[in-house]
Amino acid sequence: METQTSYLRLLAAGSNARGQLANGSDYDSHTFKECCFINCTQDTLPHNTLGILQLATGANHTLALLEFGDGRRELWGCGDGRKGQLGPQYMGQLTEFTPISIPLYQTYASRGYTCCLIAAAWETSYLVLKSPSRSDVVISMGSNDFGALGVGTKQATATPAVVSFDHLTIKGHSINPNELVVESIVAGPRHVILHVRAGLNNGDSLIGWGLARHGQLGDTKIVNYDRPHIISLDVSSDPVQICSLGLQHTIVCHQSGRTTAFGSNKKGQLHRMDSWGRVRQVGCTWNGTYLLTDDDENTLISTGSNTHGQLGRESQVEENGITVGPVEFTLSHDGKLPSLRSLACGSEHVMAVISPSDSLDMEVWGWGWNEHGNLGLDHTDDVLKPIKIWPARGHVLEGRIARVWAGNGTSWILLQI
Amino acid sequence: MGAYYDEIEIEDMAWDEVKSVYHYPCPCGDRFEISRKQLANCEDIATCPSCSLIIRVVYDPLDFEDESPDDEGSASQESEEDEEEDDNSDDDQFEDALEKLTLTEPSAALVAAAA
Repeated sequence: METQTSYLRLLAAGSNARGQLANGSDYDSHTFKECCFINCTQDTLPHNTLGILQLATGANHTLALLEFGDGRRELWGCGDGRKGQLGPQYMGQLTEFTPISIPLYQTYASRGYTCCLIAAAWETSYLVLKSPSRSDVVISMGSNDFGALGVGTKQATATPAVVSFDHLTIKGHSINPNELVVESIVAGPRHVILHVRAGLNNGDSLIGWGLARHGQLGDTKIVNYDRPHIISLDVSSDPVQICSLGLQHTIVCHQSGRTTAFGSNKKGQLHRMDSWGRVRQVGCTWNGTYLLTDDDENTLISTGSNTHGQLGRESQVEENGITVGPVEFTLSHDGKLPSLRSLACGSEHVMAVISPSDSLDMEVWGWGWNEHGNLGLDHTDDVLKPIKIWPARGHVLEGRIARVWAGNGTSWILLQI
Repeated sequence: MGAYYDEIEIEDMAWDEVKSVYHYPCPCGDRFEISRKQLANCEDIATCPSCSLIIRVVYDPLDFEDESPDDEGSASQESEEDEEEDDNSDDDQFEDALEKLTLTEPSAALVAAAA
């Protein structure tokens, strides 16, 4: 398609102490404001942008992987770069989205590699590069707290580095470095997990590193892994569909629709999370778990911490204080639940894209901790049950909701206008 | 429960060599910070500079009782080493810390940015 008949706007609200909202300032925003992309027409995405493939959020930095009409992909970033999480070129603070330039990446790009996946831990960024008929390459950059870089702790460096998987064996076979395929990469603040296929014989594996002492990487024998470690979960018979990571726990959703949950259960974030079937989406706040089940009721189950309304429902008082139950969306006038399209979990708040009953319109609803105005409602009171946050009252922008993301006290909406 | 956002074991905190504080992520993107001196004084509340949340740090006071009032340094760089018993005198601790101190280029940039 040569002619661009629509264009994209990215909106963001919430914490902005280092410019991570890309609105040109470092003040928190209690309403959704358009993100700025450097050298671009005011408040729109770069010319010929097809979409944002992925948005990854760290403590105070944001990465966006843009896809263009000609098939190109570009990594843009903003916010805090002091630990090297935005690459070696921007070690200060960016208040607008800026193309990220990394010499190490350029080396691979000249050999036909493209950045296809991104993730962000607290102050560490991860890129997965792919090239046809070559092994995938994983690059990490930023802080190495708790071994976040995955390259060992001898090198306390922020400089971008290639993560090696050569030391790993799966079922007695060494990973063939020429056959590594990364299906997905997901990061919580302190640990990261890759869903990997390593050659025809090795099948699927989950590989992770970072903080491990709560069992979030499968066992508690070690405080943290500073290099890739294979998570001892058998995924051969029921392959991984998606993973989601909280602060100290991990949820794996399998192709069958069942889930495996491990890590800390201190806040009840694992409670009964392995007793559901037909799960099609999972999300994790830092201390909570959310499962979207594929049943007639279109139910969103939540469990974990509810100190700020994160569970989106009143907690029933039980003996151990732990509850599992559905998020309470407002029923339509005929008593029906809305259709849930997608889910985005931030650190202590959640957003959901819904269609009201019997409608194809889309809205964004949100709930949970709102101290930084991250729900975009122009106030900072916690929201204990889901309410509509977009379209927002008084906002003149229209457009189809394309994607939503949620970060550390931040909320993001991509509109196609 | 109650006033604390969370109760955090010190093994989950990272050590900031530059600011000489232990730190833990706050959901707003800032961090809870606490110094060795505070822990030695049995102060176990860490606050976030950017919001109302506070955490209580769970730790063994014996690990910090030989902290002199003005001594902020001598902590190891990686937090997983915090378990070890400290039998050295303050002078030995300081010398050990100097030996362990590594400065790489990004860290230097950090110091410059913070100055």
